Amino acid sequence: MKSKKIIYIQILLFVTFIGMCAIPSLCKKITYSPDDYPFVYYSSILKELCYIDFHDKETPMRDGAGNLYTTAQYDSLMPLFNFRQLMVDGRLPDSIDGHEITPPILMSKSIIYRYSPAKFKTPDVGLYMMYESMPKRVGLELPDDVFRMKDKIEFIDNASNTINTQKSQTFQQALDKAGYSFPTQWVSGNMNPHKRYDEGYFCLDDSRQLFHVKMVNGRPFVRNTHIGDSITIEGFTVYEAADKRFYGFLFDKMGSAYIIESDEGKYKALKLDIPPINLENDEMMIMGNLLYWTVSVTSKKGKDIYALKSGTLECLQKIAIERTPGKWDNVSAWLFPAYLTFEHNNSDFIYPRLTVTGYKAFAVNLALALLFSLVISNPGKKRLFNFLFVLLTGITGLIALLILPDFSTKKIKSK
Amino acid sequence: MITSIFYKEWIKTRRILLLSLVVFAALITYIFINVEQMFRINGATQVWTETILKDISVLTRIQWLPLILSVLFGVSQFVPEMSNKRLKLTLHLPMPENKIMFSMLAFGLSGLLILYAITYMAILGGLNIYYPPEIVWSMVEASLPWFLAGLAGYLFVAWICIEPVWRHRVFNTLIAAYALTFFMISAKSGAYMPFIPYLLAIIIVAHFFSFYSMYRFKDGSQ
Repeated sequence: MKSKKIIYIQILLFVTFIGMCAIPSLCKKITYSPDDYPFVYYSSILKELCYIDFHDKETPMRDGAGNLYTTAQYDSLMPLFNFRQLMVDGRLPDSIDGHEITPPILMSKSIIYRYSPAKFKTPDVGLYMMYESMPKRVGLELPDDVFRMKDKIEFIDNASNTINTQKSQTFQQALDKAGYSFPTQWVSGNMNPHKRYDEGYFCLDDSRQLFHVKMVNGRPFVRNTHIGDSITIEGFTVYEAADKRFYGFLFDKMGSAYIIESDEGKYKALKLDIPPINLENDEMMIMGNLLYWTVSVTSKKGKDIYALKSGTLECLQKIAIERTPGKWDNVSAWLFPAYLTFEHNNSDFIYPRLTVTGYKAFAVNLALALLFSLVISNPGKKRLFNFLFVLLTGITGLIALLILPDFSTKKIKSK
Repeated sequence: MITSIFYKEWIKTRRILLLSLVVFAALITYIFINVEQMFRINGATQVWTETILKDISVLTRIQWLPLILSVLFGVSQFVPEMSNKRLKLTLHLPMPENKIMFSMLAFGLSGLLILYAITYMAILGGLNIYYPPEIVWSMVEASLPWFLAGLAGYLFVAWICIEPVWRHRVFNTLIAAYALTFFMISAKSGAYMPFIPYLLAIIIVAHFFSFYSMYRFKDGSQ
């Protein structure tokens, strides 16, 4: 009989556990709507961050003072964002603040980059493709091999599924010569064959130095960027910008963002003049043009928008929009003291995460526990157990108790 | 006595075990014919590139098979026990009832594990010819939850079948169905690895559920 009770408790806890996932997930489906923030972009004419409402066809733009602007005015006041429309209308200015404006220049300076924590929290197969960075023909060709570089670099021939010893040795020697120490911490590169050009890979070695590795004319190109001398590197995303101004976006351990620029054959980290972001939870969006970058950082508290000067990346203006709690926030705070999720916005990995909503739900739990103990007649000890269990677990525990066969009911003969 | 119980279980399940073996063999053969065709038509470079960039696994066709076959296997083992309450006779064998139940489940789990081991050996042996170990391992990682779903599914079927009250069978089925969705979340290859210990914990816990149904059956719950 004792083992029966133990297994009953096991099943009860198991059902409560899956209920902590199933019931909140159902409630979330009914009540959740994503946070709604206005689109904000820096106007190169007004020299301030402006709000754009794409649903408003008459006056889509509003400045910081609350002045509304018509669609035609919006196009003219944001020429670097609406240059295609201005070009069609024949209204594209020749220059802004002394900078020449032509569509090819604007396109080459256009940057869109999105950081989400899942970028770094994602499974990695451990195989990469090394493109020829100076191809003889237009466009990149798929290489005939892939490489791994965890403990050493090895190229594997696709057709034979065997290691290309000669190429592997050539690259290994180049890495050794450059002072690369294995095992590799991570490898960052853009393997998309449709990109404009190839800048190869940026790899963090065992001594936390960032190395630039690529193939030029069939030969290895390996350079220590020495960025690791001054910055504790956390992550890097290769971004092959159209104007080849920089190699990508780097984040340090504290969450500060940088770009790595090429400086006469050397590598220079230029910090974005924004406060460090929380790499675990925050999302960042960069929309850059010839003159200004608009950087949005979305956190649990709200959205901060920064306007940066594109050359120096110094901050010109900052606005903050607070997050308004949605229906789901209120419902979850009152109904569930804690709930379980397995899929997460900030990670591609599947794992259980317990979200504790706070103490409010215990008020509802107490009411449920009292009601349950009064309505359902149980012997004394059982009643106390049920009361405490519902008080702690709330609706999920209550449902588990109700749907499971009760071992102490009188119908069952005890042995 | 355990040998006799194993033999009794073998008699009940041998057809479904054989069917499972045939179905797995047929599907693996089909997968390798498909892989061979992909390499022949598209070339190794294209196939490897798509596998790495798009996270395409050739094993996705196998996804539901371990679960479906294990459910059939569990049904073939435990439904005969419940018709005309034959389980009563089984539990009257000269052996502790816990040991009897444990032996029955051990037979089922061993059968499934042997079947899965044979399947994995065939898959690994074949894929290693075409792909480097990293890709093969990522495909194995992606398929691991499906095979664990098979083990969990079998244990849930035993729990549901042995439960004597129909109303609770329905509840148990709903609980089991939802629990099995944990094994089938669509994710990138390798994304499941942090969750595998939790899935194993679910399987270990689910192993005891049938004992509870057995106690209720013995107590004469109606």
